[in-house]
Amino acid sequence: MNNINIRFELSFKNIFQLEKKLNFCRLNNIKNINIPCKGLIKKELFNTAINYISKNFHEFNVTYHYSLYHQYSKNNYKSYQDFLEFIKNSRTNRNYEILLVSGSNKKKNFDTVEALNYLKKEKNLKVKLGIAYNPYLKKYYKISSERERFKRKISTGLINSIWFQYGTDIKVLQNEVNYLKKVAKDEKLNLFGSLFIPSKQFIARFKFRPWKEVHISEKCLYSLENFFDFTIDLVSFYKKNNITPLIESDFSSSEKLDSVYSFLENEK
Amino acid sequence: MILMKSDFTYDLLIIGGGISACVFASKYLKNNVTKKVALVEIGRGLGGRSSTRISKRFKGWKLNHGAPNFNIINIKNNLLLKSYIDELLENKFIKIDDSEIVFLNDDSNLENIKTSEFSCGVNYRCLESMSQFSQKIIEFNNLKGKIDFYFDTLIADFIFNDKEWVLTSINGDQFKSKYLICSTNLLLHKRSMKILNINQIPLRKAIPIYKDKKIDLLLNFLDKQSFIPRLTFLIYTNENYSYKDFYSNKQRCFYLKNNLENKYKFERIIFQLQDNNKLGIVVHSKNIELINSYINSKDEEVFKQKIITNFNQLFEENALVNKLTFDVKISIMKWRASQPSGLAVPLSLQLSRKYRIGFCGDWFEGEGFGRIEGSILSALILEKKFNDLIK
Repeated sequence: MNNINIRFELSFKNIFQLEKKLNFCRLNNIKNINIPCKGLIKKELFNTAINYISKNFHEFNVTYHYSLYHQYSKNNYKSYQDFLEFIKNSRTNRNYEILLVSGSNKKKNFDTVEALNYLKKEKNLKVKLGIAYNPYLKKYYKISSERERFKRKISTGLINSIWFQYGTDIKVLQNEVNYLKKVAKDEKLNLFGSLFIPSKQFIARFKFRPWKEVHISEKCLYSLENFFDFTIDLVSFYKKNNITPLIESDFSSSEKLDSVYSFLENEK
Repeated sequence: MILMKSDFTYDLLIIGGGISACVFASKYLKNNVTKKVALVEIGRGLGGRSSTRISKRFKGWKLNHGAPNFNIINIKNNLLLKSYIDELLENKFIKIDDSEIVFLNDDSNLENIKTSEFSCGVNYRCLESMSQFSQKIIEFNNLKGKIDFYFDTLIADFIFNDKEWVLTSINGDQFKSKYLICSTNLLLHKRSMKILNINQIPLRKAIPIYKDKKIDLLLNFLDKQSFIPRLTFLIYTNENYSYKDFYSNKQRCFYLKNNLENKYKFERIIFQLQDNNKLGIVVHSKNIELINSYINSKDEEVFKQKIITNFNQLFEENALVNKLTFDVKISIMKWRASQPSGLAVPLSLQLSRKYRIGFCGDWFEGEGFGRIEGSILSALILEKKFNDLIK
């Protein structure tokens, strides 16, 4: 069970909850985790979490989502300096990975492309970063800049991983994966893909408040059976394309975790 | 080679004869009066885990050795379930259970708060024995005797060819059916490999991996399910045995709270008044230590004496229950799988259109998981889905 290549994204409201979830991971032999910077996890809690994990939970292989939006302070210059500091610390303190995201509202021309452009000019900076990619923007949200932005990001030579946003159209995903592989054929890229385990609660929550730029088809939202079918297809697509699933739904009870593994493993 | 003894062809075949199977069969018969249906069950009669031992050794005794009654919580007020329970009440198959439930704990030895998973919500009792309950459920709509029952029959082999299911029992009987309903999960679960001494889950032979996503997922979920083994002691008391008080209801149930359960290794004790006015006692245990000591015991009589001693110590100073004498007769039943635990299977995986197979039982998700409530509800839901399929 534990040899499945997979990552888990933790969500938490405070440090106590984080500690509880980390202990759950420890107990269940989960090593690869992601700490996002979104929703309730804003600048302060995010930074506290990093300190806390670095101090108390050494065994985890953590990817932090650095949100340029949430970490913004005063002006672009100051924000960039903070980011640079964060990257340098990542080398000296603890060797964690960083997924750089613009965040849901872009601040004053300070987004991932911008930050990477500055970063490219730094000397003696040996760092590799992850970037996010939303395959569904063009088809479902009429935003056609994603490919262009990707090209600019990858051309900095600072990128070593791509994180695919969640969505329920495998054809679109396939298209974009093909495109990325063509563009970045010389780069060694690790691929990750978001994965939600469907449940009634998840559907209800999503219907009530859909997430920005996350496309979930009616077909999935109105039939749990279809959603199950899709999820199985997505898992096998990820497997075929060497994309490591990142579990974004809550997994912090043994039943939920078992249910995650039920989708991911096939019998021996 | 398996010798073919006989050949039976049906529109629908149901594997398992517990309450879930009976509810499904009954509902199906109501809506499909012309169809040919068979029910195949490994045991001697209907009822599954809510069944009744009609003793051959001791005349006149009928002891419910599984669930003696059932409780419906229905917190979400599912109308399908509600109207079905109402139907059972109207037809006088069940009535509200007014028997006493006593919780035993360390301090006072008596407590009356209802907190067991088996006792919250509304409690119902069958007017007759539990196995008759299942029978009545089926017979209610089996007006023309449409169902063929095959008891003592264990299916060991499945084949699905595009048109029909072909099932073979370990005795070599062959059954053919257009549609298949599995209310047992034995043949879908890894424990079957040990029990049947085979190296593949039987259903897998008919539906190989990657052929049907839903089946793959169903089996993955089931793989995370385990089953609570239990021991049941059926105690046939002597003629003059009675309560200390004047309690006269049919049943009386004692639950042991955690500490006591660990100490005495009993889970619950159900007194069942018999038609001959004798008092039968059924003791359930899910204590692994006790189960193992039974398996390893060389002398069953010595083991039974220990059970009586345990019982007497538990009720040493109890105001309601008398001690047992050492000459009472006891028979012991071992349940390989008395209740599912762990991961419940999502109801969305109940039906595969492609393979014309459906599943129901208390092993599906919901508040009724592991209880009769789940058996009934999952059967009702499946029947609705199934009717849409065959329309």
